Order: sequence, then C-alpha cells, then structure tokens
Amino acid sequence: MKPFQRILQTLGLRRPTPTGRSRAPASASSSPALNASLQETLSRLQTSFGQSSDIVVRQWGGSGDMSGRLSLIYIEGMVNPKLLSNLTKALSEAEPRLADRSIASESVEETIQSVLPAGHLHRIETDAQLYSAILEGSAAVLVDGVPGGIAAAVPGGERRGVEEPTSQTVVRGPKEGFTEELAINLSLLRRKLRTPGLRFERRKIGRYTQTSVVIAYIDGLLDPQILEEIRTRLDAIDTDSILESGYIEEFIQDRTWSPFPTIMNTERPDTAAAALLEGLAAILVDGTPFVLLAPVTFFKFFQASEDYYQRYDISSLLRVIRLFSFFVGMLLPSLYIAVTTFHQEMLPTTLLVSLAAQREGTPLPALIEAFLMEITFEVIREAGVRMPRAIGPAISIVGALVLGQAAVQAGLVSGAMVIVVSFTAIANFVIPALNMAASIRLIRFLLMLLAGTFGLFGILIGTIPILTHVVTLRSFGVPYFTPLAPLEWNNLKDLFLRVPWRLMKSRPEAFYQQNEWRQGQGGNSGSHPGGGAG
Amino acid sequence: MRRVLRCAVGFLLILPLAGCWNRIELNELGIMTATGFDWENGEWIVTFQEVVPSTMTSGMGGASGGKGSQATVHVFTTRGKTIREADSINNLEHSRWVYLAHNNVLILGRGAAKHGIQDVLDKYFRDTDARLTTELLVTDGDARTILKQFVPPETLPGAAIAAIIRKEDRFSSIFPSVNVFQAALKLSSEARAVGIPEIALSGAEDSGLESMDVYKVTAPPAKLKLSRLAVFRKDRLIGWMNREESLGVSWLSDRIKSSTFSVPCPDAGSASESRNMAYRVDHAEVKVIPRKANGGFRMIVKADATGELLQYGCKEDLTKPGTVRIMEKQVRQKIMDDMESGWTAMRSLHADLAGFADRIHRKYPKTWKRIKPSWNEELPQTDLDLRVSAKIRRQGLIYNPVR
Repeated sequence: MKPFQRILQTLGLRRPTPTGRSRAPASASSSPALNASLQETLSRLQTSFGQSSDIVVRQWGGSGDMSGRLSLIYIEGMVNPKLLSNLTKALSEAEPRLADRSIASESVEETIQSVLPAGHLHRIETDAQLYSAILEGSAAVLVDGVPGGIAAAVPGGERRGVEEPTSQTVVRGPKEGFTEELAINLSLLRRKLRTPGLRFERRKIGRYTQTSVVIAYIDGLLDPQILEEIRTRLDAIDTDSILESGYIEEFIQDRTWSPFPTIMNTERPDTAAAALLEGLAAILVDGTPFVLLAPVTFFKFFQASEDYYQRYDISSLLRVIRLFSFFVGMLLPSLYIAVTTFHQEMLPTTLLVSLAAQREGTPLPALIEAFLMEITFEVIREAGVRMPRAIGPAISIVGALVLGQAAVQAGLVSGAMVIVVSFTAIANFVIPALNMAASIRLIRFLLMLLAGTFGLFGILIGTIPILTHVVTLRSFGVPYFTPLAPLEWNNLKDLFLRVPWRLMKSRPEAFYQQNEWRQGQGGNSGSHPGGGAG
Repeated sequence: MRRVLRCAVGFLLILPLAGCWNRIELNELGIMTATGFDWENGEWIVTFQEVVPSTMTSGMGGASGGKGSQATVHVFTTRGKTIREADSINNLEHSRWVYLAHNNVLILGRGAAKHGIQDVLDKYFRDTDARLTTELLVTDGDARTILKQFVPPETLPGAAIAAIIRKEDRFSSIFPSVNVFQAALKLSSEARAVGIPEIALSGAEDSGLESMDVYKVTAPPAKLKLSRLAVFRKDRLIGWMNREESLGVSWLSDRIKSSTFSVPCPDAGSASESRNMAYRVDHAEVKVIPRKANGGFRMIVKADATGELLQYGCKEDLTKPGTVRIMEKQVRQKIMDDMESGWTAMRSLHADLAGFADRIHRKYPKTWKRIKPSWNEELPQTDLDLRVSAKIRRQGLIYNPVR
C-alpha cells in the first residue's frame, strides 16, 4: 500500500498526512488586512489572482501612474451588468465629493453606503474577505486612504433558469425543478414554505471551490439532535472541492461501505418541501440542482412525490407495484437461474417443457447466459446515458433488435432469458430513486452468482446478510428500516399503502417527536404553529 | 474496512469451489412424463416416456423441429433385476438425466401387477426425485405399449393420460384416481386393498397411434381410455371390475365428487324404446357405520346425494310437485343398485375396496384384533344396510320436455 500512497501524493491526489491544508488560496486566518493604501491592495490582488484576465478594476480620479482615489473591483461574468452599471453611475456621481483626501474615512464610507444602489452591502476588512466577496459576485469598492472596503452584492452571470426536472418527472404535480443557482433554489423552497420557521444555514465547503452549502429545515420540526449531527458532519468535511451534492453525500453518509444510500436526493422543490414538513433536513449545494434529504428510511426511496398528488387508491396500487418491482429487479434473474438449474421440479410441467425447448441448443450455462445478458444490458444503458443525444435512436435499434432478437435467433441465448433480463431492467426503472435502483443492480449480480452456485439456498445465503445489513443501517441516527424494524404501527399507513390524507394526521414518528399533528385533530381545519401541511 | 473487502473477495473466490453444486441445465434433463413398469422372466422392464422439448414450441431458440415431423416424446426401455438397476442401465444408452419430478403417470403392466407392486412403491417412496402424487394406472398388457401411444390432440401423452384420470375423478368418479401415496396408504391400511383404474388401448390394435401421423387424421382408429378397475389385494392384482361395479365401489367408499348417469323412468317402456332421464350428482356424502349383528358385521351405509336433473325423457309431469319425489325415488333406487353391484363384486373378489375393515377397526378395536386374520373370509358374510337419499335440486331451464 505504501508505494501506492506515494504515487497518489506525487500526483497531488492525496494530501500528505501531517502538513494539512497548505495550498488553499485564501486562508482566512493569515490574510493581511486591507490597509489604507489602495495601490498595495491592488497589487496584492493582482498577485493573488495571477493577473487573471477576468478581474476588472475600475478606477476614478487617478492620474498617470498614480492609482485613483476610488476603485471598483469585480469579476467579469460573476456580476449582473445592469446592476453594475447602476453602481458605476452612482460612484461616478459621488466621486467628486470624495476627491478630497482629507475627509475622514468614516464619512467616506457613509457617503459610499448612501450612494450605492445595491441591496446588500457589507464591510470587508481583509484580503480574504475581498477575494471571497468578488468571487461570489459582489463588486468591492475601495477608497485610497481609507482602510477596509465595502462589498456590494450584484450577483449575476449566466445561469440556467427554472426548468422541468429531467431525472424525476411526474404526470401530475409541479413541473419546476431546482437549478444550479443556490439563490434560486432557496427561493423555490421559501415560496413553498411561507413560514418564519424555515431556516437556512449557510456554510462554505471546499478549499478551492468555496461552495456554498445550505442546510434547510423547519425549526420545530427537525429533531435538534439530527440537525446538530448534520452540522457536525458538514463541518468535518475538509476537501478541495465540492462540485456536486454527491460529494457531500459521500462525506456525510452514515456508512461508506454499504450499497444502500442513506441520503436521498431530489431535483424537485415539492419533494424537498414535503420532506422538510416531515421533519427532514435538506442540504442544498450551490452549483447543482440535486438537493440532499436526510435522514431517510429505506421505504422513502420507493415513494414518489406524485403518490401524494394522485388519488390514494391508485397511489397505493403503484406503491405495491414498486415494491414488487424492487423484488423483481433484485431477484428475478437469480430466481430464474436457481429454478432452471437446480429446482426444475418447482415449475409446472408445461412451463418447464417450454423453457427446456428454448434452452435446447443454447451453448452456455444459464448463469453465464444471464450474466452475459445483464452485462449487455448495462453496457447499452451506460451507452445510452453517455452518448450524444443525436446518436440515441441508433443505440436503441442496435440494442433492442440486434442484441435481443438476433441473439435469440442465432441460438446464443434463450428467449426466456431475454424476457427475464428485460423485465428485470424495466422493473428496475420503476423505483423512483435512481441511487436505490443502482444499489439493487449491484446486489442483483451477487445474487445471480450465488443462485448459480447454490440455487435457492444461495439466494437465501445472499439475502439474509443483506437484510441484516439493511436493518442495522442508520441514517443520521434514524433506523433505516423504520417503521418496519423497529415496528411503528402508526406509520405503516404511509408505507406500502398511501391512505387518504384525512387519515394521516400525525407526522412520521421516526424523524420527529414534537409537534406531532400535521392536521387538525378534530375535523380538518385547524392550524398549527410551525407547519401547515394538509 | 480492508478486512471486510478481503472477506468479500475471499467469499467470492470460494463460490466457484462449490463447483456449482448439483447444477443441471435444462437441456441436460430428460423430462419424463410417464413411466411404465413390466415384469417379465424375473426382470423389471422399465419404460420411460421422455419429452423432446425442441418439438414442443415453435420458438426460435435452438434447433426447431416442425410439429408433425418429429415425435414429441421419445420412449425407451431398460431391464434389470431391480428397478434402480434398470434406471441406471439408462446411462449406457441415453444422453440425458432421467428426471422424474415431472412424471405425471405411472403405468403398471399386467405382469408387474400380478407380480406385486411393492418394489415400485418402494422405489417411489425412497427416491427423492420421484413424486408420490404420480397417478397410478394399470394396463391389461404391457405398460410399454401404452406409453408408445399418442393421445391426440394433446402433444404430451403422459400429461394427457394424467389429465384424463384427474378429470374423470372430478366429473365422473367412476374410477377414482389413485396416486402412489394413496395406493400405498390403502395397501397398508387394515383393508389391504386398492382399486386402480385400468387404461386400455381400444379400437384397432397396432394402429397409427404410435406415429405423429395420428395428428393428421380427424378420427384416430384407436384411442386410450379408462375402461375397468383393477383390484389389488396385498400389492397384487387379483381381479377386475367393470364400470357399474366400480361406480358402486366409489359410492361405498365415498369417492363420488360428481357423476352423471342415466336413471330409468318409473315407466321404463320396452327395451327397444327405453325411457330414461339423466341425473348428475353434485354433492354426495356417504357414511359407513359398522354394527355387530349375529356373529358378523352389518355395515350401515348412509348416503345423501344431491344433484340436478340434466335430461328428462319420462312421461310424468314435472310441474307437479309429487313427480320430483317419484323421480328422486328412481335415482335412489339406481344408486342402491350400483352399490349392490359394487358390493357383489367386492364380495366375490374378497377385496375390501370400500375400507370397511378400517371402520370396524376404529369402532370395535378389540373385536377387530380377533377377526383380523380371517377378514377376507369374513368380508362376504358382512351385511349391507343401504340407507340412501337422493335429492333433485334443479331440473334445468324447462319443466316438461318439448313434445
């Protein structure tokens, strides 16, 4: 292992253990203060950013090589040009009033504060603050001879607007999805939950990326202990970069070495809002539309937001179908292998004969055949995700026709196997959460191997440890298999079935102990502080 | 963590060591649909009817043989001093595993039936592969001959024969179906007798039933059908019963599930122009209660039959309530006649097919111990007290026949 580590270190992929954070560009503690000399500040800025071409420094009242009295610093592309032009206009008008270098710095600042048309202003004291302000899309106003400066938030730049989510679609329900812009995402949540109880807690993670990460929760609904746990885990992250919420998920999940996800993600504000109302926390990460939800239980991954928008009867049916698909997706190929290679007596005679007829002349054992088909499918699927959209139809033709039909006709695989594999694949897509579906795909291969070796006993050998593993999992302290293990009768009504809203008056106990009722306990009209679902 | 990973990898590496255990692919299986046992010159002759799967579907997989050109089953025979030896001799000449779990029917040739079926039962009980629910049938010739026949329009003769006997058991109850387990149960009970249906090839012998050509004609010259009841006592064939007698035995042993038969009208008319009605028993309950009577036993047979009038050819006016009573009396008489004929046959064969011995054993355990050795001689002396009631629940959509 030692040489491997050294290679990683040389490549810069793994930081040398004792020296710790070394190359972070702006480390708050050691940053020099913004002193009165504008020239010095600017030269430090240019050095730090290495003359980066997108740094814009606009100066007023300078002459020759003398730097100006007043300067505006921002990064091109990070600011809104319209707001910026207002800003420059205001500063140009104010400049003559500030030209006199004898004015006290307090009054200079006051003047600036009063003339700047931006909504959000804050003082900056150090270089580090200056850098992070301009990197976030603020424009910094510095005055020569005045220590410190003022950052005016004029965030902008090209960002995608709110669009329909692509990975989690519904027939009925809101069609808006989160975007890459954190501010928009927060506003989407805020617009769904108009309560002062909705809290956003921001922090920055990633030494290079300085990514804004926000914990969103409803005060009084989220268990304070869970909140504290989330904070602790987020604060413990020490990494170069957070480019997507997946990074965070891996850092803070309860068990790294488990195929089962203990944190859910969603692209849908309505799902996130519903989760917050159930006493979950949402973790929003700047730069990605995928919002993390925690703590979650196993069964959450089988619930779609649409379950709650459709009528309860059809929703209940769909949930049962999803659960069935879960088992199909996990077990069908292995059951097929086990039954056809070990337990033929379990099949009805006619079925056995027709399966045997299809296997007649196929060269490979059922296990290998199944593996071949499954891997083929995974390849087609991966190709479908990766390839440019324009080539899409070609893959479906080649995949479906050539590999499916032709393989059977050529006598390479049996028709029944194609049916089994395709049904498994389709069943896998029924599960609303893609990460859960992916973990089932992994387990499927293991179970197939076991089924091919020991038959149904092999499937048992595989499923029992998986089940024990799942029931021991926890998501931020909440047992993963609640409400089945530990059994909570009251919560079973929103598990395999979705009972009418009228009957779901209390919140799920697993996450929250206080503020139990989400609906009036009498009729259906009361309102309760802290939450108003219904 | 590394330990977990090591364990997982180790576990995965161990899997192939198991050598896929006793894995057997579908195309290595010889799926047997029927088995036949004959006894000849001190040897068991075991005949298997094996499905040829590739002929069964028009599927594209593998080499497909067109239906009609290739026989759907393959019949082969081996000999041996024991059945298992004969089984194992298969390995010398047959490419596939003899797989008995889907064996639907077991046919005993006359030789085997006369020799005794103890060995067959032993094999079936001892074998983990074979199923005790396999239907038992007897044939008055070689089992091998029966297995070679097709049963049009079905493609799998073995499955078809099993389907025939199961359907017959449910809708006619003349020859109640007997599987290996039931036969063993009956033979080891106090009565020590069992009736097994006979399957026979009727019509032109040596006809085309052995070739796929039989599927090309509308009316095959011959067919397989259930014709008699073979009576076994202490694992040996001792005689036969015809349909009426067998139906009577079914009544006495409470094996009637549903049965349709003709009942003569009260005014039956002459033989050339006989008037009858058809009656279907839908539900029958028979209780046999033994009573001691003058040294021997008297069996009280209480039978309650309810059913439906399916066809009516009598002159009496059905709209009158009294007529139904009269007809019920006729049905009752017919049932009693059947029981009598069954009883007569049982008496003459000394075979307690109705299981009277077990009733007596249960009711009079002490007496039973005494008479047990001589029960077969005692049986004909037993009296039968028939108390039958028959009800007509419905008579269909019309009252009187169209005249």
